[in-house]
Amino acid sequence: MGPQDVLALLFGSSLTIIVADRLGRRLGAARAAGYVTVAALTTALLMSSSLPSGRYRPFPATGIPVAELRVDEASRIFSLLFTSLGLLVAIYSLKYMEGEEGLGAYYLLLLLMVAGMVGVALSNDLFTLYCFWELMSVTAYALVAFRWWHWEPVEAGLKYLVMSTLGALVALYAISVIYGVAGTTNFDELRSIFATLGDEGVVRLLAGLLLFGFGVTAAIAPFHTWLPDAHPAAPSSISAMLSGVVIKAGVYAIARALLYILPPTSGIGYLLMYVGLLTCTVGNLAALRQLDVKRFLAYSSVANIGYIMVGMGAGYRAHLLGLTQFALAGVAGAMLHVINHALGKGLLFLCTGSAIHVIKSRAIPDLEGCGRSMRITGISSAIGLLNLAGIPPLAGFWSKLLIAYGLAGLLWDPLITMALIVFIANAVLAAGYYIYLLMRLFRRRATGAGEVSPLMWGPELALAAACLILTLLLSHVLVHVYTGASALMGVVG
Amino acid sequence: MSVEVFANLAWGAPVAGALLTPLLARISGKVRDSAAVAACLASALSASMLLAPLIRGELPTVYKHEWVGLPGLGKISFGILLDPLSVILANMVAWISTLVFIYSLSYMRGDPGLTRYWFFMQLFVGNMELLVLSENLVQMLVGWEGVGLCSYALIGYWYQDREEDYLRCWVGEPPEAYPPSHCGLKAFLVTRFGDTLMIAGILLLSLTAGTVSLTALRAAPPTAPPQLLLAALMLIYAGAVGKSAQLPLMEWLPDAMAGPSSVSALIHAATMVKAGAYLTARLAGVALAWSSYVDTSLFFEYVMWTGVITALIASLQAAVATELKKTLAYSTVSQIGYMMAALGATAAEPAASVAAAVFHLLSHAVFKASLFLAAGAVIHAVGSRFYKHYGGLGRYMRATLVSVLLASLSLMGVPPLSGFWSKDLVLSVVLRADPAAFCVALATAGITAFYTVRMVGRTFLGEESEVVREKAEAHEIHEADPVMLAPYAVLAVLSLALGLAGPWLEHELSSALSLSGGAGDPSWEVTAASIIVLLAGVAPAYLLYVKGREAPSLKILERLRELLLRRLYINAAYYKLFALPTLKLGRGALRVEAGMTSTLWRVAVGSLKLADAVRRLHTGVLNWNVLLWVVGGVVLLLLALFG
Repeated sequence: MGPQDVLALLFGSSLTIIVADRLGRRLGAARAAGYVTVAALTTALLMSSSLPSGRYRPFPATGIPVAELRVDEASRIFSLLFTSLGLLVAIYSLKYMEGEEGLGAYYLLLLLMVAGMVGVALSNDLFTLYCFWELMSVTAYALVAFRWWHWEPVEAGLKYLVMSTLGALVALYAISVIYGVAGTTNFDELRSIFATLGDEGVVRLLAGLLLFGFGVTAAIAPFHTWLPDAHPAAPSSISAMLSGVVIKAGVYAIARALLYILPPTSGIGYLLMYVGLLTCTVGNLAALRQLDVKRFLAYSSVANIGYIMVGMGAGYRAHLLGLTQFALAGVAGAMLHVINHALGKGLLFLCTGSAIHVIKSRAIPDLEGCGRSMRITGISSAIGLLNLAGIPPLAGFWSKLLIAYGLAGLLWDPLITMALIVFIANAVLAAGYYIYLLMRLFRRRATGAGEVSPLMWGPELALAAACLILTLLLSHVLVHVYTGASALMGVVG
Repeated sequence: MSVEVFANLAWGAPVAGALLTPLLARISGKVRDSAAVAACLASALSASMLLAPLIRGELPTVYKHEWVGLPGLGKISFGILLDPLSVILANMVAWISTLVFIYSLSYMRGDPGLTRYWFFMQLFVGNMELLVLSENLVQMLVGWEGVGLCSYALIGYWYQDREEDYLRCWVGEPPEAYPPSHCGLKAFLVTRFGDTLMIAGILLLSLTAGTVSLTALRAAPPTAPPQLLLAALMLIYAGAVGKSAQLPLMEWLPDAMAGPSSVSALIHAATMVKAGAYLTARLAGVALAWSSYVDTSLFFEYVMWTGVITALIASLQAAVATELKKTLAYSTVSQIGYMMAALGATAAEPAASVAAAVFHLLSHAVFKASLFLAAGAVIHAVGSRFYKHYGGLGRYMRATLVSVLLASLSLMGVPPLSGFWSKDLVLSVVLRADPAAFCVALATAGITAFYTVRMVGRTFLGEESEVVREKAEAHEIHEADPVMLAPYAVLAVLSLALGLAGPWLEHELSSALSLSGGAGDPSWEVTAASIIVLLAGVAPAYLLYVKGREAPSLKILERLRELLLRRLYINAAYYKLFALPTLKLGRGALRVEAGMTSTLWRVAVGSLKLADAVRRLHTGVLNWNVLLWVVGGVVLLLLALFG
């Protein structure tokens, strides 16, 4: 069994959804499409959890050197993250989206979006990656604008479409330049070609273009402006997907391109780090004054992408200087933070979805006290908030510590010392507003709003438990994350 | 089930019980109370299961699990060390706790803060078990600080500090009378002083020796400068000095008597204050293992001499105390001094020193817990903590009197009670190390006999005081109810039983705890000397406090009494030197802090303004967004190309 089977399963089941939806509606089983999605994602999750590492050619007969797939620790971690969050969101949607128009389309788009992301994580050449990238993006626009009869989602979806397409165009341009220079788009071949190319200018240009292009989806500042509109406007289940994993696909593409394909070049590490610092500062500051809880979470997602970029930048710089230990720490910290933020932010969006479902408002003052009246949602969101605030001993603390450790290894460099200070100041600021939100959710006495259905709190509880399990099994998780980091950078740790 | 499960249950069950207590309190008070006793009993039974491998001779065993291993940052592991020392202490702690818990059912009945009481009592037992079972010093420190926290919370249990409770739960007489919350804070701060040094010691040890594992430390002397290793040992020992109330950090324990008597019995007599002796026993093993490489004689000398001097001074203070529980408190300090003295003799007598200390620790735990619980019953009956309100109580509380007599005889060291055997072993160990120290310890034994007789005489025998007479006429004084009586009676009988099994126990402990392979025995000269000193102490006390003879009025005795009552002015000096200047400093710092707060406020307002500015950039207008994307992209490409 290989990665092509996982992708085939996802695409195959998307056809089944259409049939199931039609049949279901005729027989009065409105959830049929949802059940098919859940089943497909469960199977995909089980399959992708045991993929053996290696390179795969799904179409061996053609002899065309494109469409190659790869499995290593990094792509396995990312694809597992994508499918598992997709599965939980699908379960959540069974109840949350009940009674909406066009559920068949909703589940079809959701499944195709997961397929696109998994494809991004599993492809081994830039062209395949680009195709899956577009699949993911197009389905994401449609999902943001899913409630098209409202004005807000349509505007947000359009904005997302314009910005993201512009980014994708730049990325496509970069890929074509790469093909022009190297004559191939295969990751491993590119890696060896660029390692011996010796033309630093081309490498710098390509790194800049790829960061510019993929950076829009990853929401790094100043290309993040679509995100605070798109994430709140989407249905909460889709917000969980977007903030939880879709922007992480952007992170994955950047990491794969800059850390694996292109050789380390001076200056790019700083660029990543400072773009990251700008991103987290802008995100944190903008989040501070939000009254809309989903906008608040959206800006905090921008900030968290910033931390991840800082970790990658530190790793990049340390790798360039040959300090493998710190390089691994930085990138592993970034990856651990990807996992933490995917679980934590997915959890928080699902929880706010439940709260909004009951209270019918997105304003933080209206949500006061719902942490007490909605017991399970309240406790789960508390765990998510504490995890993202980086309160020890939760995993969110360790990922930031690892990133700071990666920076600390280069502390003799004044630019890095400054970066570390800004990074820590940001972490403190963020912890402050997460705790502030937590306080507001729990401050008042219960409001009388009841708990939601188990189909909705089940996924929340699962994600909260995942945050705790991540902490308890930290040593095992760290082993995987370190292996993933060394696979991403192509170094032996 | 494996042994490790029981070891983890021994500390885990009470901790889990503590966490459940607030929930169970919602069901009913009865459920909460019985669950607490059950959790403690579970701990005791689990601890007993650890005796099987001890008897089979399968110890020591270590169970270790790594929790987090950060590459380049070291490992954090959780480990359980089972050896004769830890298993014996674990059992002692859990079983005495169980008895005290049962006593509390009646003693604390009707108190409004019982949820808090049970929470901290169970948390205490769990942390104490964690402390004795830990394999490394850092994990031990968790339990160590945990018991410190519980001690603080339980000393200040009646934190309302009501004036009308002056006779019942304050401590001392003016000008050194303190309310409970003050005492809790004092205990916390004084022991923290030792703990801080101890943390520094552990840090130093981990930096120089590269390990904090007790087994690894004992296995081989680390390759580090000997002076640093010695410094680390001494610093860690400072923690033990604080916890076990040895000189010069003894001032907190007498005031800790402001807590409920059950707390005094459990924490400030039988278990927590022994943590210092336990730690010193561990350190003695380490120091002995290092002695070929590091000159540890300074450490041993220091431990022994602090022990005997503390024992002497505290026993003198016990002899003049005006409160029943204070006599017992000073006596506790003095008896722990004996244990320390024995441990200080390890270099000269490695075969029997730890056994002597542990034997004395065990017998002291049993009789002192019994005495404290009985003292609680007395205060319950009379409603006062002062001797001047007692006298002749034996007539009304016969069973309590018998129990107290049994435990007191053990404290005095009358054969064949357990205190006799253990004190004998301690004295003979000290004699072999240093005759001068032995003389001091011997004198202490005489004073011990004196104050014990004085305590029994002034409380139960002698003439009735006014208060007792009035209460007796109103039929308000009566024997403690069975739930209270049984625990201290059982402990008193246990003290007799341990005494009857004394020689056997002595032999077993010596062979289990010996650091050199052989086993030491006390000599008959020591026994003879201690019995003579015992009689010399009993005689004057009997005449003065039981027969009611007038004391000879000697000016020098009066002076000495005054000096001892004012706690040698050490307490007053500490207040003058540390407490008052700290308060003054605090007031100054408050002013500085107020200034800083307003600055910080300005920072906060500034960041909100900055946030507004950032927010204003996010117009949400697509044209601007795309423009920003283009500009940003160009800057980014320029930076990538030329940065």
